[in-house]
Amino acid sequence: MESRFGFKDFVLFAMIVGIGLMVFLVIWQRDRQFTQLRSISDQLSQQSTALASLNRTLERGLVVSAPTASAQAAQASPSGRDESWARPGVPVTWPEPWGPANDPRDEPDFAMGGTLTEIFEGVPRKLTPFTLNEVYINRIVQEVICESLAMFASDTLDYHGWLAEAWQYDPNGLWLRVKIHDDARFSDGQPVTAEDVRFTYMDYIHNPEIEAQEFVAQTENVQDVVVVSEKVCDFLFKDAAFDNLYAALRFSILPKHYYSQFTPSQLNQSTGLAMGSGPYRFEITPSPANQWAPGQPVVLVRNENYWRDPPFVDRHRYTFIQDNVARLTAFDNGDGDIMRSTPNQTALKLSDPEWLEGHTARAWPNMRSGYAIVAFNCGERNGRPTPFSDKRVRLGMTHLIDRDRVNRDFYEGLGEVATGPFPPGQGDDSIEAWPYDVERAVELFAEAGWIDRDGDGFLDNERGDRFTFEFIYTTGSSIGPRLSRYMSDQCERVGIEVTIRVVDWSMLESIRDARDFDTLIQAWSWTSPESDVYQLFHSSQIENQGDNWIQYTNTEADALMERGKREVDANVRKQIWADLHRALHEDQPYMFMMQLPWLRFTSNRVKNIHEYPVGINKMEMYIPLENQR
Amino acid sequence: MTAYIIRRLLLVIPTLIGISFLVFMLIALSPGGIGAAVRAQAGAQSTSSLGLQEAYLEDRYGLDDPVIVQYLRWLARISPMKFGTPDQIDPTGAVVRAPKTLDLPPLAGLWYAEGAVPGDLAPPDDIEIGETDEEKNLTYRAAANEYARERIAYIGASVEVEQALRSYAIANGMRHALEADNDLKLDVFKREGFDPAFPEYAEIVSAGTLSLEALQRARQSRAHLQAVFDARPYPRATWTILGIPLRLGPVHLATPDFGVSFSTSRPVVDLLAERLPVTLLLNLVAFPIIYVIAVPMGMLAAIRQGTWIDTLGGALVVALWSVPVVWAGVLALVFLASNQNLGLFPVSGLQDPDSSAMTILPFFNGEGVWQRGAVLDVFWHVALPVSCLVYTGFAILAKQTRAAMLDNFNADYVRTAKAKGVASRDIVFRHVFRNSLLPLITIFATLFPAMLSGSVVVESIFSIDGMGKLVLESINQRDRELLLANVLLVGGVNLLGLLIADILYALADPRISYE
Repeated sequence: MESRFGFKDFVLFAMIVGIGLMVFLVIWQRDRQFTQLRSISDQLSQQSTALASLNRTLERGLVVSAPTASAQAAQASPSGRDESWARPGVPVTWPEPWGPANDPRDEPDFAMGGTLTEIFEGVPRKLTPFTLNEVYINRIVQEVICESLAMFASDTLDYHGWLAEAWQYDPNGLWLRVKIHDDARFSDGQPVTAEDVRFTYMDYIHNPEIEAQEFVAQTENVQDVVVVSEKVCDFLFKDAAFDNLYAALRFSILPKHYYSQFTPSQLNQSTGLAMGSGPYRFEITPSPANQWAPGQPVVLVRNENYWRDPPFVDRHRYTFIQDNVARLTAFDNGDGDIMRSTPNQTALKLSDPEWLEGHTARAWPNMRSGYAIVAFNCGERNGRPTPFSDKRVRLGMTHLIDRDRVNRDFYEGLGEVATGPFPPGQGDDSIEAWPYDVERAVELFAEAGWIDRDGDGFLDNERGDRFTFEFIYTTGSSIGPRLSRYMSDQCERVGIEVTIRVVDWSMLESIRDARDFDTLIQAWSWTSPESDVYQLFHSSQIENQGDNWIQYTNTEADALMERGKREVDANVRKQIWADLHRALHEDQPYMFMMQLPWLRFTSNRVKNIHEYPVGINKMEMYIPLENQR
Repeated sequence: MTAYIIRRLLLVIPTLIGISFLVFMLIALSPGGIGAAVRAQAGAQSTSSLGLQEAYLEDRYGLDDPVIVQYLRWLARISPMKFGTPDQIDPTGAVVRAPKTLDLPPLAGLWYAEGAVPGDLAPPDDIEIGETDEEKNLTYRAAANEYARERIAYIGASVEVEQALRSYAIANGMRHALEADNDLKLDVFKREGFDPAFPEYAEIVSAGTLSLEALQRARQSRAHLQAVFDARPYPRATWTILGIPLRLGPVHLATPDFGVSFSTSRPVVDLLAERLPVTLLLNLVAFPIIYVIAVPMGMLAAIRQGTWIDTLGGALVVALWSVPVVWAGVLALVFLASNQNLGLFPVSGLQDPDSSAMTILPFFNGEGVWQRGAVLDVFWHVALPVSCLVYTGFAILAKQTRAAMLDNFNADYVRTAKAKGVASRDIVFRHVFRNSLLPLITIFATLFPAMLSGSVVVESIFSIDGMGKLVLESINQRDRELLLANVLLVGGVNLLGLLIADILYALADPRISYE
């Protein structure tokens, strides 16, 4: 009898494998317990360090009330605060400290604690600060884990002090002296110093070995950061520019003692080395061996060492669901409290009273939303001027498109017809959008020389060329297909021939570089309350592959952009932007289609959610006790 | 047999080189070229220093070299056999290479600075890099950082030269010296020569002089870095056996380097290591299910040929096969995962957000409440995606099994066995089924690589970050290194799958032999 592998052998084999597997799992479980133990001992050691430093301070003795008349009094400013650190002769700005615009702490159901979950529509590829310019890094790292020197007030969009207590801005816009708050400290208890600021800008962002290229571009006007004293540093700018304050104040300050222990290649290859002074932190301080990696949810816990009032919610959690249906299903299941919705979903849910009892659908424009445009090539394409090089043709096109209808049909009426490239409040908000008026459009085309001369139903110019153009949108554009069809219908009504072309993103890039297009659809989003349009519209940006790929030239607008860019006084600038807004409105280098609002669904489990010009402020939300789980 | 296997394995190498060459060229020739999407991302930021960013990216990934050179460089990196100076490995495990060389700024020595173009500097030989590993590390890091700063300053300066040349060309009617996207055609510039009378020429000279000064500084720091590198601050990356490096003259063996992904600047290997287990998990659960259900179904249909079992089973698997996964996935989400309906399964992901706090094994906690633990949690999460992966797979396998079994049932040897009085059970399992295995092996050989490539649709619907999405992203981003590594992986596994199938043929059918 030959020996073969029988049923009994199989059972034996399966049992051995099963036992081995169980042993492995048990070992794994023990391992995980050790990890948790380590995190506890990590926290314990941090706390004992903090306690020791407290003890030392107590031993040295505390000054309960400051000596009244001394050298300080001589330096005291009209505001009654110590300004001995400041440069003489330049007024000091003492901004309001950043905090909740609506303080909920007096609400009857206010409670600390709970977990706030936000569902994002894409997975962040990295959470190490400045290594990628992605909306997720910016939202999680720059606003929750790390702090910048100042922050926009949620409601007024003024700079409020965050790490910075005060600053002095050179009236000529060439330097900025910043005084860091004395109490500011990182989540491991180390104080935030001027050296950390210098490190962040000069040794981290501007270090060519670290992949922070896009942030180098945003802060390129910062020439140097000079440490004046432990808490005071000077920013030196290459030249006066209106966004110098943004470049200096709005970037996260990183702890030098933490980041300098890694090599540039470790930082480039890392996925979650995020540590800072913000209200939340990773439970275990990340290290190259133990850091968040894409595919896992991001869980942040309250930074118990936080140097200001502790935030209200215990934990911030971020999960990532790309698919629209799945995201809404998860949200409805209660797996999340905040999510971004689509126009369709918003319209659908706004008419569902049952859903609205437990949730809120929000739509509002703010400084981080954006606008959709149809870009006209205002110059030459392949050596010949496009029809849109004539301003009247561009204006005619704008009159030809019923933008209210586009809003109604494509954006569910949630958008707003745009008049210019500026976020609400920056330009002249009194400008009326051009109306939908086909007759006026035909008139404008005729003024520009486009008349149906040969009676074939199409407009021609004097040379007998037919009015024809190409409309480009990118693959994946949600409204591209429908908008292009609507546009070509409208154009054919008045005798203009439209061909539609779909390209992918990288193709679009080379098309724009070569200025090889007639019209294309595009959306821009804003990142700050004041948007700089110099790159988009200034004539110097046409040549040399600049970003004015629509080849728009207008000397009057050029002058306004140059003045606006250099103007340091915000009030003067406001008037310049308003004039520029009007000039661009008259010229229509883009057909400004739609201001796109932010769309958010929020769960009513979470209280004190407000729609601000800055977006939403997660730091002021709280979860009443009965809603915590 | 062994000789056959070795021969087949050796054939894998040229095949893979061919595949990678094709893919490499396809990306290079696609509109926008390699890394275009990376540049597009940078462009969306709308900054005035776009030109510098582009130059930086090109410099970092060597995109400004001819495509063939880039391909050969890539091949050299992924080959375990290397030539020239061995790389070194720093304490964090990163590969440290000899410093990159510096090119001259455009038209240097021709249009400006004639005869004054400085040559390469020899590395100083009296270099002190310190005694301890820590000191050596610090010395190297400082030198590398200094060279990186000088190099980027020089690249910035040579971008200025390009800008000046462009302005010159535009102002002086030399548009034909520019590509459609405004890149310079240097040979046209060289051919046509310059006219110092034009005011734009002075700009070229001043930008050129500045860039040559920057070049000189960069060369100094490069020479310094080269000297530090030559002093071997770190151990070499060469493989060793018992402490003896595998090195013969300029040839040595070292770990292949699949490079860094353009879009995330993370090592490609890390990205694959992140995604591969996810896809493997899904497929390792899905494939046994497909086989365990489809093969017996096909056998049953063959034994009961023509009965209602055959008809109904056949209709069912074909019906399932024709349901699109996109639709089925969304239905599963809405009906099985949404709390408004059944709400039996989780909506997304592979584990509960809190699973890191769970125990690994299931147990009843103190109050006697069932805790599912992290392992069962994963199975609960993959239930819906796996269902979507398996239901389309039944049809092909079941129908193939049925057809193969029927063929054999009609064979002479079955009639003989029946006549001999062999039990029908033994006929089915020991004779017919064994002989019907060949087509099943063929199917396995094609399915096996598919296990690694993942399913884009299922992964997107259920928010699972597997190989399918990774490949799609790498194509969309024109992420060359990532895409090539994927192609190599899937291609290699494909070839291995075919080889394994051939070996299995020989095992299943004694008539096949490769001697």
